[in-house]
Amino acid sequence: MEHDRRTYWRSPEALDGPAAEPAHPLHTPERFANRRDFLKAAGFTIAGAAVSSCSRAPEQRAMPFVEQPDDLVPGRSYYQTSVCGGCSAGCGVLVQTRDGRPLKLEGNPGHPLSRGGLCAVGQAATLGLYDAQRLTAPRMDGDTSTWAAVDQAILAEMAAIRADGGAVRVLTGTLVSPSLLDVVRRFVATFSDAVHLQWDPLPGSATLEAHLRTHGVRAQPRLRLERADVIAAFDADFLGTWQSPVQFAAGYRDGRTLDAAPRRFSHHVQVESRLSLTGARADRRIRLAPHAVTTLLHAVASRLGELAGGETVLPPPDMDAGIEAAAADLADRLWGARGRSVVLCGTNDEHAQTVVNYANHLLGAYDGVLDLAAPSRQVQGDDGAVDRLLEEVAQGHVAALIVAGVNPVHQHHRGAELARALSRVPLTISLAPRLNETAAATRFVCPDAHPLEAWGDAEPVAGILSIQQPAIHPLGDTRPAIETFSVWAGEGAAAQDLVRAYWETAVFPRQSDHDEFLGLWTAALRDGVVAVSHEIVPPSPFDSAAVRAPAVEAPPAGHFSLVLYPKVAMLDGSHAYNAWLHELPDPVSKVVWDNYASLSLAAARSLNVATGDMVRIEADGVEAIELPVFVQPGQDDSIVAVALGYGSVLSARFADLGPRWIGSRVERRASDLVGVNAAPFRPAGSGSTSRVVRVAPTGTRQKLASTQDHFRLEETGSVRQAMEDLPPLIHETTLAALDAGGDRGDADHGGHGTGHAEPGLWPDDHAHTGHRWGMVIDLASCTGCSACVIACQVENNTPVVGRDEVSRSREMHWLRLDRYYTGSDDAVEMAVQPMLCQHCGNAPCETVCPVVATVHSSDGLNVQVYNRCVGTRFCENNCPYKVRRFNWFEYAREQPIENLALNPDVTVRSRGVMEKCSFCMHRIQETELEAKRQGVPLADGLVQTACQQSCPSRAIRFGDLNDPDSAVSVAMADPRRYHVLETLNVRPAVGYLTSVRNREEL
Amino acid sequence: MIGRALTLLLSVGFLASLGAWLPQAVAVRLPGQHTGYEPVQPIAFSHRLHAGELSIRCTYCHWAAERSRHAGIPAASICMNCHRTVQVTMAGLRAEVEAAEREGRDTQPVSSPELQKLYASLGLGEGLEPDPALTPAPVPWIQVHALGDYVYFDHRAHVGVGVRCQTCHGPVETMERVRQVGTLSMGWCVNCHRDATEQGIDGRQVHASLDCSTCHR
Amino acid sequence: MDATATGTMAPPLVDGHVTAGQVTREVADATAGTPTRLWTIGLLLAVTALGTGVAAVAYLFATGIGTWGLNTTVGWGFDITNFVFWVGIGHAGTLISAILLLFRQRWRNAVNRSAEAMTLFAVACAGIFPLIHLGRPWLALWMLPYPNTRGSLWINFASPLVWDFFAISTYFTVSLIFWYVGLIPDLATLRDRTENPRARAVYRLFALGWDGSHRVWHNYESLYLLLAGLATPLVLSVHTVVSWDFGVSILPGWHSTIFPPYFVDGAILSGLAMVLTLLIVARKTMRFEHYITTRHLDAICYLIIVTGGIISVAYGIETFIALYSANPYEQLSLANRAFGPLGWGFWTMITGNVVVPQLLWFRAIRRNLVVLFVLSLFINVGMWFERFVIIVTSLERSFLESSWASYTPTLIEFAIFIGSFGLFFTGFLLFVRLLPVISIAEVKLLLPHDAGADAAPVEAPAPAGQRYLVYRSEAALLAGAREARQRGVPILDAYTPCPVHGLSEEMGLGRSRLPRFCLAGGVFGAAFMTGFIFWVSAIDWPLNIGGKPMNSLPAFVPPIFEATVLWAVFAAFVGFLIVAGLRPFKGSKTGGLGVTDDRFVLVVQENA
Repeated sequence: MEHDRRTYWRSPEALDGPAAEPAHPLHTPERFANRRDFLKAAGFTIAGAAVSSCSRAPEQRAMPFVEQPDDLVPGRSYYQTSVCGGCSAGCGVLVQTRDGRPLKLEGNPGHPLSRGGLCAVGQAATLGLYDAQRLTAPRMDGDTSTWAAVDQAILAEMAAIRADGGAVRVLTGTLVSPSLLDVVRRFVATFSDAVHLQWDPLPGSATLEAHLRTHGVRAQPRLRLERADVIAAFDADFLGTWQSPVQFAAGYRDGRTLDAAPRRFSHHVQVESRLSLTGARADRRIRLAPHAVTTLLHAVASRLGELAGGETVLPPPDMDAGIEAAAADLADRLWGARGRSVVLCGTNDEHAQTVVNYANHLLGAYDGVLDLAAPSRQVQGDDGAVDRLLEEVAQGHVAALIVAGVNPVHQHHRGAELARALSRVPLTISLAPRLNETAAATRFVCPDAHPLEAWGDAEPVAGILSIQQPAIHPLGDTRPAIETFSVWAGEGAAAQDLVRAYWETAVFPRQSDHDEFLGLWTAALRDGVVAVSHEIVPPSPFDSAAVRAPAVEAPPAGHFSLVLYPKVAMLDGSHAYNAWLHELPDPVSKVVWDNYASLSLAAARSLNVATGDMVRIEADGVEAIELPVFVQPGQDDSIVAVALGYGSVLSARFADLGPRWIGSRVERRASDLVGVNAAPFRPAGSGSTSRVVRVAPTGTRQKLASTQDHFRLEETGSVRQAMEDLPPLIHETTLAALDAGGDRGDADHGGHGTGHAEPGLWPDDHAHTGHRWGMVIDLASCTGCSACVIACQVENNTPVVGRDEVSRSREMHWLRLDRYYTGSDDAVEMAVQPMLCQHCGNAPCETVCPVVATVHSSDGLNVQVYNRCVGTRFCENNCPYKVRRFNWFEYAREQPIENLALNPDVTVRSRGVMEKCSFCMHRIQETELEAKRQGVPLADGLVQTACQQSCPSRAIRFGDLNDPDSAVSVAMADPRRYHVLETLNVRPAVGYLTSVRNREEL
Repeated sequence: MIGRALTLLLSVGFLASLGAWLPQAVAVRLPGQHTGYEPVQPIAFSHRLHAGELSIRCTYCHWAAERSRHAGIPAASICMNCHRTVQVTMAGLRAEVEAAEREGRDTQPVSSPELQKLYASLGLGEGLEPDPALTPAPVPWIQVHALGDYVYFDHRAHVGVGVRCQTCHGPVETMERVRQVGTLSMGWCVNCHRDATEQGIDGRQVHASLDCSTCHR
Repeated sequence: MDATATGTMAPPLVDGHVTAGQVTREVADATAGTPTRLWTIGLLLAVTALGTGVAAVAYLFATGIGTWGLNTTVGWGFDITNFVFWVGIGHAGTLISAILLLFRQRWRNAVNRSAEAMTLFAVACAGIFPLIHLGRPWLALWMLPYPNTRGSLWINFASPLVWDFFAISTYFTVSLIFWYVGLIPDLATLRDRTENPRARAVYRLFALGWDGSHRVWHNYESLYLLLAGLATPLVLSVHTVVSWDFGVSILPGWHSTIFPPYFVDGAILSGLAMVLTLLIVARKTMRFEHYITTRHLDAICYLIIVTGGIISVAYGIETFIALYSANPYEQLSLANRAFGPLGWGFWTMITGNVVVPQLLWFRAIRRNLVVLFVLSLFINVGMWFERFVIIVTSLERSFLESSWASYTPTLIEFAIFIGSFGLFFTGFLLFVRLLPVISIAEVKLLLPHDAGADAAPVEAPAPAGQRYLVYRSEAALLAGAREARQRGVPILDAYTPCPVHGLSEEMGLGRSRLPRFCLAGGVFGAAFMTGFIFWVSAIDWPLNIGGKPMNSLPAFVPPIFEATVLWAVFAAFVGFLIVAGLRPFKGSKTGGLGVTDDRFVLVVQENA
């Protein structure tokens, strides 16, 4: 049977019956209290009552509105602007809402920072909204309570604290919302001794402190990569995880355009110890040990000082000849492009950051690429905040602690200590939306609303403001943090009023475009962003006296430097409840559902371990952790790299995710959690960037699930030889070669849209007279950030299958990123090629299907008809690109809440059915129909696939190949265009543009 | 002898093909085919009266049909456009007048018992004023036409091109209670698409796609 | 009988001095009485295996194809391996029955019945796998072209799976008809011998009123030859079509033009090996040493040597083509096959299919039944691995290395594999108990001349106007007939336990009319199918399938061929029933005369 699509239409009334009790581990018995409100919001709902018999149609209820809203058409999607709440980058989003149900977040193309892109974490936010394990009511002393009771108790205690003059500490992450910050300030002001502490789980305060020293302002300059011609990044994964990757990717892409005139293509050098996504994209990658990265940085700055006129601010470090040569080369390049070059550093070391500031100062970056006058507010935290808090608690004079937005018990290296300390604070409150480690240790939990449920705003960069507007009434009895603080400050205003009031009093005066506040407010809601003036704290002249040479120290022999890093999908772990993010393959390692100890090939050999062998990581004063090894090419031999954010209790729900059957090997790990928490190994304080650890094999093994295997490494002899002889599947070239006219992809073919030059065995019977859809992916722009993978999953109801199934190569993503390594192990380069259904004109899959379940449509799509498919898997066997996905089990489940995240435009596939990329044909149809209804032609660019829409670097072009002027036709005619496996002559509708690196040698 | 054999072969073939067409020939209802489904609705709304006798356009109530995938069940508030004033049939009104005359009293405001359910759904009390004691709740209409879960039908595309509602829904204007007339089977859709492409709609040429992706995705 | 077996230099096909009556007794009586202990144990084992398989299939249906070790890259594993394996086994039966009949290899008469039964059970086992391998097996019906409520959405006649469907179902049907036609005279024998009234009713149903009439024998022999003629291209077509499941794909290691002959040959090799296995067992357990002689085993061994040699050449060509083509994907496929993670499977295949057949050159090995038995098993294992290696290693590593994956079968797959053996042996063991394992009628043709049987005829009671002259041997009957003709006595008919060659001339019977039925049926089948496919694919609902023309005739040839054969066989069989006047439950007029045993009755006109 087809999965009953109606289940996610099911009204919450149906939850009352025992029949709706889902038998799934994700389920929690807690219900949404405010059903009636949700019903109003959900509007047109068809509730399927399970009455089925042979003679009668099953009875289904169709619930109309009671009051018809003026501007709402049932079944149509509406888009409203908002702010992504996934992290503190504050990207602008459009929320797609259908019948009262937010379905998908898309980047807001009008936002000047994110410019229409949205990362994987942002895309996955809807699953967080429909998370049935979210807290649906406040908790008091371990029990579910009511807001009235909780507020009464808290206010009483706060009154006592106010009377006693007790100390109150509010601990949050970076608050990118000015109105929330304002309310917190007002709340703090009601106490005689109250402090608002900002602390970021992914530390970044060294940059702020360094600027305080060198420029007199504690600020993070806004990074405008579109203005950079030479970028030297030291351990800064700015395209993957550093600060605001979507914004940086958009800027980076604008600085590297081959199709614009005049052509600009920046030169990007990445110096790093582990292979990051940014390093993979770089034109030149220098692999060094962490301490050597710092040495090189120092040497570059020192050399720049020399070039700038023999200044002796920073004497060169002790270094070997290799680093010296690299430094000289790098410094020369940077100097040659001064005013248009920048040095970036992700090392959280104040001294190193002063050196960075010095280099940037010499390069004139502060006049172009870096904007200190309109600084970024995305990272505001103070790394020492929690340490100081712990001291204060130890002294016993903290009367109340409120934690919001962060989970320090899990994320801070002294988390365990903090958990104990919490019991010594009389009043502890967490605002966590889920019962995380910190919330579990506090007396009160006052769950914050999901960003899609609450009013708010964001000012990620000074002067660029967005409003976060709710798309749905809160599903549970949660309350936005801004309201909660307002209540406790004695105001008790609603979030909308608070935000509006702030904008009226604080934002409206900062602009002159609108005479009336309503004009500004409407514009902000409509456009999602307004630019206003902002207070400028003038930086003082560069203080070269503040530049300090960073200390460098190599790990002692037999030890490793432990590099802790955030993963693209998991970041600081605050989204560890999100199954989509756990199943998103790491773009570099392709591993899902785990963190692991990355070791280079040489390091693994020296320890006599291989991928999957468990190692114990030990350091003094920290409880040892055990992790499976992952052998990572391109990594420095002296480090072991471990991802942060894992091992959270939020992931306990996935303990046995996946289909259960006789052969399933759902491995019980040491704990029920996904991965291991490495936060305790964080280096204490600022100044050192990595920790020295001992690594020892335990002799046990733990299988890692990966979507890409490593046959190439395992094989020897003739099989290996045959593998080496395979032609390359991905095309890469250099700017120099491109200019010389060589290695230009497969340019010898005529335009794809105008017919084929290749001979065929039979006449082409099938003229595509109307539209003919096609796609071109520019590999010179693609960074591998994986936003498209999640966008596709959200859009197309792709199921999550779990670790066991992925380890059987049964992942379901319709769009995957094929990763290719090139070069030798000591100079590994990585390239990424997104792979999706190629919609071949002569599709091998179609010919072999016995029941015509996969055929070609008149507009050039290779369509898969799920309800006709009987599941022979012949098409999958015959697909050279292996992009078809089979439903091995019934993955869809009766999950009344979670299933609300399903896209009603796309069939939920049942067991035994093949599925694959459809080029988002429902989006094509919707746009086509709407254009038809309105009587307007379908303009190029109106139809956007989900992957294309989400792409921060706009690497994907989609459109009509029959229109010679469409962007996709132009790209198809690009000399860099090639098709994967072109020799098979299956005539794909997806083309790729050769990846380009800006350097001389390939 | 050959003649005998051929007769036999032909009759076997004939019987075999008869077997295949049998379900249609004797109107056997295959599973999932619900022609004739005519559920009793929570309010005895008469399409015959509204669409037939009163000639109200279909899209007056089902206004979304022109703009959306769904035709939409009208909200209770749409009913109130008329039923704020029209509260009872003429016959009901006469009966009250006659009853009042018979009993020698003044006529009282009357409303049809079916409309009372509508008012209750809107939470309206005496004099059609909102009654705080009543909670508005949607009328739980029973869906008559249910397509397969894997079929995507868009009213907007059909209404926009001029397909009459009756083409698929039958003579709704004559139905006291709505009944499913079409089989809603794939062949039923496809044949209409074929005919429309061949013959056009109201003399206009149309292209009704036969691509699988038109309905399945 | 004088002209048949005794005059040759070859060892006799039936050992010792066996009379027709003895054949009837020995073979027919094997179906009665209490089963041997060996048989009972065998059946218990087979039923247990079958039960295991049934349980595993039930679990599979309840849970999903995910209970198999397949994945996105390796979409087929044990399922299609077993399918191809069993289809291959099914080849030998029809080969022995049909092709050897056409080549007049008389030794086949003793072994064809069991070989045909083997074919039927093997094809039944094979047929199960394509059904259960479907993601949604309950929709298997959709593989059939039938008018439906979907606007009559048809099927893709260019898909090798559709060809498979037609090929396997036609092959099964034709094999069944062939086997049944061969059984009719023997069923009559059983009907005439059994004491059990219930059994007799069943035999009466299926014996169709067979009375050994020579007029029926005359058409019967024509039918048998027609069926053999039609089954011969069919047997070659079946594995050809199966090989196209792989051959027409674009996967390196599958995409190959030598697959059809290579697969057919492999199928015959595996089928012969299985026949050898079964015959050695049957010969031992049923004590049929004098019917299944060393000459039979030798003949099969010679065929194995030939087919094993052909397959060795095929392997060589595959290697040559991969190297000669300079296609890197083909070369990887080849290297991976031999030296990749499943390389051991490849070398098992080479051992079983290349090395083992060559051992059969040695007479000592052929004579040692234990060794022969073990070697025959080796060949079957080798052939199973051939299919496994082709299917799995090709899929494991194809074009995009990012998608390479490995395959590990699960317990459920093993259980279903065992279950298929259970089904095969359950069927076969029941067959040897319930039906004559050796064709009684056909073996009688091989018997040595019995001089004592040339006695003068005895008169038997006959209907008015007729005289029944009962002879003890074929030769005596022929002599009597010749004498009657010379005396001008009209010969009305003859009732004989086996066809008597030469009698038709004595009786003045012309050629049978069955070939004309057959031709008409074949022409109709071909024309109908061609028209139907063309109408479906190009007129009723044309679809763009892989960019190919709507009417891609070459791709439609396999189903047209199968339909041609199927209709020709149907027409010949039905025509035979009509011409011979046979029908179920018809009684026999000659029940008491022993004409289904060892009596030969000549019917001549009285008073002449």
